[in-house]
Amino acid sequence: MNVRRAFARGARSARLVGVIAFGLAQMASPRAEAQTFSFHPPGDLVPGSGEGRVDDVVYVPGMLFPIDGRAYSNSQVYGNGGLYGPGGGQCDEVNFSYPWRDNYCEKRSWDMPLCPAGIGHQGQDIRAETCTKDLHWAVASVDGTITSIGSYSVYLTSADGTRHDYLHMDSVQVAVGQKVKRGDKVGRVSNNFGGTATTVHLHFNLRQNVAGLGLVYVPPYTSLVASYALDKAAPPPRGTLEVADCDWLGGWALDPETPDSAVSVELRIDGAEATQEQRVTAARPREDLCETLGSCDHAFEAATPLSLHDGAPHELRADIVDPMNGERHELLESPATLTCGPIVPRGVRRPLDSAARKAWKLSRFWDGLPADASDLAVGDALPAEPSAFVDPSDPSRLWIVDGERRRELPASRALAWHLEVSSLSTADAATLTLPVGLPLRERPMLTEVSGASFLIDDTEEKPSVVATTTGGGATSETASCTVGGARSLTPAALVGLAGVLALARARRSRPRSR
Amino acid sequence: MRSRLFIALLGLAACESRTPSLEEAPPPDPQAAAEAAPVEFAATPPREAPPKVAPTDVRTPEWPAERDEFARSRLTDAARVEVDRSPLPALVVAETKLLASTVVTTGPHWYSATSRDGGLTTTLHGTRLAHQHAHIPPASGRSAVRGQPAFVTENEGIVSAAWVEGGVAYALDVECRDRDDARCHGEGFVVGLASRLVFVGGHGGAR
Repeated sequence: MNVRRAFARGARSARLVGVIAFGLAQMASPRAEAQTFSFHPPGDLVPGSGEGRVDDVVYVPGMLFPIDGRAYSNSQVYGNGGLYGPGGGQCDEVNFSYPWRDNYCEKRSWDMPLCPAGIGHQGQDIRAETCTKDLHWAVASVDGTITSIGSYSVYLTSADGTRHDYLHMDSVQVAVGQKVKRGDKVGRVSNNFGGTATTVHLHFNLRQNVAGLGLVYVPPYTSLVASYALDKAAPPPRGTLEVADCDWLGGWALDPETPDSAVSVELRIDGAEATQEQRVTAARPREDLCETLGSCDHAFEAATPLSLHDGAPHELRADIVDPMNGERHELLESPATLTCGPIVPRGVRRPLDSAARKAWKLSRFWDGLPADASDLAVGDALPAEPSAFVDPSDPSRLWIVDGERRRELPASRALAWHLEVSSLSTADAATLTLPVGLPLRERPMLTEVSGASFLIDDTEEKPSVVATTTGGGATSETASCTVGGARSLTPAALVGLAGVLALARARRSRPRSR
Repeated sequence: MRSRLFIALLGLAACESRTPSLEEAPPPDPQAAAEAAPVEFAATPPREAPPKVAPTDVRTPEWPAERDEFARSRLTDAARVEVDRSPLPALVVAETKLLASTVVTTGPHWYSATSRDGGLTTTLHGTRLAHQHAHIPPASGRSAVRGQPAFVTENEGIVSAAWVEGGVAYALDVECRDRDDARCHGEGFVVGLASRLVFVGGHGGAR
């Protein structure tokens, strides 16, 4: 049955038809396989669950679908795991699959003037993308005002007085009287039911003043179908912030509309606007993403900005900025709160001019030490640009030429130095004959004194390296807290340590199951 | 046996499993009418005109003659300011405990007042804008509220009464934190509460 025929059945008009017909097969999720959105016609309830209202009118045209991500409209009572369902559990896969099913006017005993039986269910039950409670966001379907928050309800009223009711949420983000915009977070889909748990779902009502009746619950199903089709046909960019600690950030991000292109993830700190440098590109290949997303190159990772290492808590929010319209789409698991111990600078500060700073890709956000380093002695200038090579006998080891020396850097820390291992060439014989200097620190540390830029580095006389911490305590830059690169470590130990670091990072960046 | 118990528990936990209506409802008949095939979206959609917004009609409210100054004085300053912006007669639940917690919000054509007292949340919503849906015939509710026919319904344990008074459509919802709270069972409490609503002001109202 095609869309036109389906709606012609009850049709006073084919209002819904014009806005709903297209595929969702490209809508990617790391969990679910691509499915094509389909739905039973309005009023077609689960057989035996009552008489539905055959009504194709979209009562709230142009609204936004009230749940972020995929969703599944179907009955909680007559579906799997429901009191009158066929058995199974609420988390059964069938409840999280298409086609959708209307359950407005499903059997109940209270007055419902728009239901054929005069009684019935007032709204629509909607499950989010997964069965996990308190994870998926319910969002404002229209611009409006929050007019009530009860024990398990939130009412959003639009300018024309239509009320949009959200039930059973947790983590409510709004307050009574608050003005919200379409897409603002309202709460998380959950099972809150006044002290008694229900299944994990959003119960969504539309209440409108209908001439000749008064304030009644109007059918929400058609408005939901239309909005879902519109919203999800062009599914928004999405992803997950999987790792966020004081050492490393990582995750994945994708714009399903352009799955072969990389997207940028913008990092905002403490709600401040982000600058251009506060972006990382989600273009790194990751094997586990290939199957689930349909293409592999959507991971991102970066050393946690050094500017956060001041001992204070910081909220780090990660958004994909839609290149089409500039809209931000927050990653799942974002925001994260980080409290990273301050770092006491040690060593020398090596001058670098603006050209060198650009060549080394050093930035105040990523590499800037939030501490005064003016007391440090000034060393020799940093090379004008990085000369980095892969060790021909051990690809996990890089060599960075620094004047007359070559300095070692584990390949696992290349990203922290803004180096792409895949773009580096192998060290030639001349490089390998250079004397070995101190290993490079795990990450660069930029400081500014009187407007001039310096890289804080170790000296041959007094080696020290940075150690990152996750606590609030200060990190003293001495050899005693070396994580990598101290002179006392043998090359073999360094390789082993690099392996451990790489393994640890790989484990942290494994996608979380949902 | 354990799996049956688990299924039964899940069923009990399901959405409206504790509503009287469901307990009265018979289980679905497996021999019920054959299912219609679901609608699947075509890859190339027909593009027709987007759905139209239903025409609306903004009613002119009839304003009550007198304000209840005692109830008005029990509102917070912020609530009184908002009441005076109401484009329609602002009614509030007259219970003293609820008055102090009342938060009022208004829109171009609507007014809302919500109050909380312990486990009880009340929300009064009123609007003067009516949507004209030509395919919906007029009807009157079986109950009576403030001398007007009213629809009383229960939405996920939230009992709601809706009526039209002085050209304005009102609905009063009562929601209980404890699902066993008698105030959220049956229409007695909500109808009684509605009967005690008092007029406290509004833009264009009498002083």
